[in-house]
Amino acid sequence: MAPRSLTPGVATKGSAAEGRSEPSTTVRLTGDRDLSRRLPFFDVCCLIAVAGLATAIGFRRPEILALTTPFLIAAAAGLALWRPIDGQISIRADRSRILEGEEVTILVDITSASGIPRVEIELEPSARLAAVGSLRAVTTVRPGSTATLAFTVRGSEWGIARINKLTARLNDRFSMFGGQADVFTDTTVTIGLPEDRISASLEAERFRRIVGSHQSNDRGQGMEIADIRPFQPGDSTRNINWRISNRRQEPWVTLRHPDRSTTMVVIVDAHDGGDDEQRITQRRSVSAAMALSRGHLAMHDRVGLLVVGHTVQWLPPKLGRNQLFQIADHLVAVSNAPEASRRMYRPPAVSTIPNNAIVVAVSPLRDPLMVALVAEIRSRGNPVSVLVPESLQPTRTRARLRITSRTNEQARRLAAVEQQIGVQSLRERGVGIVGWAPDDPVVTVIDQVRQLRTAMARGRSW
Amino acid sequence: MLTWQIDRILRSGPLCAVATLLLPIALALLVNAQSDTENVLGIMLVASGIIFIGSIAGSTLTSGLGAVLFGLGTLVAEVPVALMAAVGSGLYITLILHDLAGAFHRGPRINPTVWRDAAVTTLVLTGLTAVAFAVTYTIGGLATWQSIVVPFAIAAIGFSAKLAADAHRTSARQLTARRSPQPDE
Repeated sequence: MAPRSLTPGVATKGSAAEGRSEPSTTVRLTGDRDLSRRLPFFDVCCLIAVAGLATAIGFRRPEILALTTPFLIAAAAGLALWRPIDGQISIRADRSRILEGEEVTILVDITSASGIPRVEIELEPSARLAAVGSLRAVTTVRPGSTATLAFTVRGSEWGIARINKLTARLNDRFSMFGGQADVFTDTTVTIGLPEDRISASLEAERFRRIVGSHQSNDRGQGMEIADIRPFQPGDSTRNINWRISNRRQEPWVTLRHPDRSTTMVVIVDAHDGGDDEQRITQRRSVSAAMALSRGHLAMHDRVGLLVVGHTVQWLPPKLGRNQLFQIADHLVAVSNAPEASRRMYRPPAVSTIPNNAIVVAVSPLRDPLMVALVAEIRSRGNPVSVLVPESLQPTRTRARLRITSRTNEQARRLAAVEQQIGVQSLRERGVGIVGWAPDDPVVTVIDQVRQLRTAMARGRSW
Repeated sequence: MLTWQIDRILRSGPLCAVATLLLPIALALLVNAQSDTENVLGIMLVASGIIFIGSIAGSTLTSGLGAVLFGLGTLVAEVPVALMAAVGSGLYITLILHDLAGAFHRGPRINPTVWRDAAVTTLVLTGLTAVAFAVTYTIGGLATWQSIVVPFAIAAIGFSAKLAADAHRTSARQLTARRSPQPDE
């Protein structure tokens, strides 16, 4: 199959898939000595030609040259017609943002003034990008033209993916001279979580009723003016509009819309995603956080994001669609967080969380530092709920039991006990904690949270 | 339609490798049919196998040694000069197929101009070879053996000097080249 031609205007889907051209990485081939090396084919041709000449001379049999003349002429032609390779290679993605499961086209432009008889291009994407078809292509660049190769890859896992390396092998017309160049590119593609999976995994609107019941945590009657009318018995003097009252020479009051929007802060525990189990948990945490943010922003709530763990990111609560994109970017960046040695569970941003904000943490609560952080936020008076995505328990086969050492098993039990202690201490502080088992439908989890909060509210009223 | 078929065949690396086996075998059978010498076929079949192994392994040197062995077998077979010239061209085409097999491995997407250009280049070169050798051999038959050998020998000496100079320059550049730092991933 021939390399596909450039197809501008690739169809996009979803809000995160807005077509936006990514800056390209360009590498000049001109003057690269690695591309002007002798290839083995030249050596073989010379070997055969010289051997034929020597044999013909030694045995005084000129017909031997009939066998070796093609190789002699090929080597001579290769030497005579060789020109240094000039040109450049640029690589870019047609979209910088895709959703998981979507495809993105990586475009490689090869330009040369004098032409390149044969170019082999091979892409090496990161693990989050799966090849759709071959990621190798062989083509010819005509003099003064540009050859465009299109490679299709699919976003297999959410996160920030990149094209790690591009390998270019170039030959002359006779395959006598050429070489290989490795290009390390900066081409990145942000892979977001699909919309349908998020909404299927966690229904934001229902969860919102649990954590906030769509009521502001603030006292008061709101800020937005709805109407004015003459003062009536029972009206608060606080609502008197003095300017209008002065103009009309009688007391008038201002009516306001009750403020039902709230401020919400979502905390995501970006713990290490080293093994498969943790990566699945991390993925569920991010999905839940994204769904919560989307649902509350749609209801004109102010939503902030605090990512803690081996990376600390803080987005102050804001309204609007732009905030949703900001949150999505920060959540996607969780997948490429740096080393765990940088973990810091007491970020300065904790002190900037508004006192009236509803805080929802999505965390497996495996780390005592995370437990301490949630406890601290609760102690400041914020209503806090924790959604705990539980991981799948590994199937304990006999072989696994044999392999698992006793020390590891004890360490696992110790960690579980430590987690239980942390959970219990948070419950005692009034933090609503609900486990989210992988097999449990979200509706069940939401009902559990609702019952829990109701029970806690009754306990406070008593 | 024929172009499409050739395109399909040459787009596959393994098929090119198979062609590097079949073409020498065909040449071997042709040489054996024209030769009265015994055991020539065996030598050339072994040589064909070596060329094929070199194509599969991606070793140009192995295929080249197979071609040398095949040429020796042809030499031993004592066949007419025209057939030797055909064998020489066939061996060169075989090595070109070997090169394409290496380029087309792991099923890349191939622009048809690649193999089309390779085919044109090879055909032009073999045609030139046939003409050049025919002219030279005719002149050699008319004149003396030395009239052929001496120009080739002089050319070979100059060619060797050129190779030595290239090798020296390449080695010197490798020794004095500054390594640019590789960017971190």
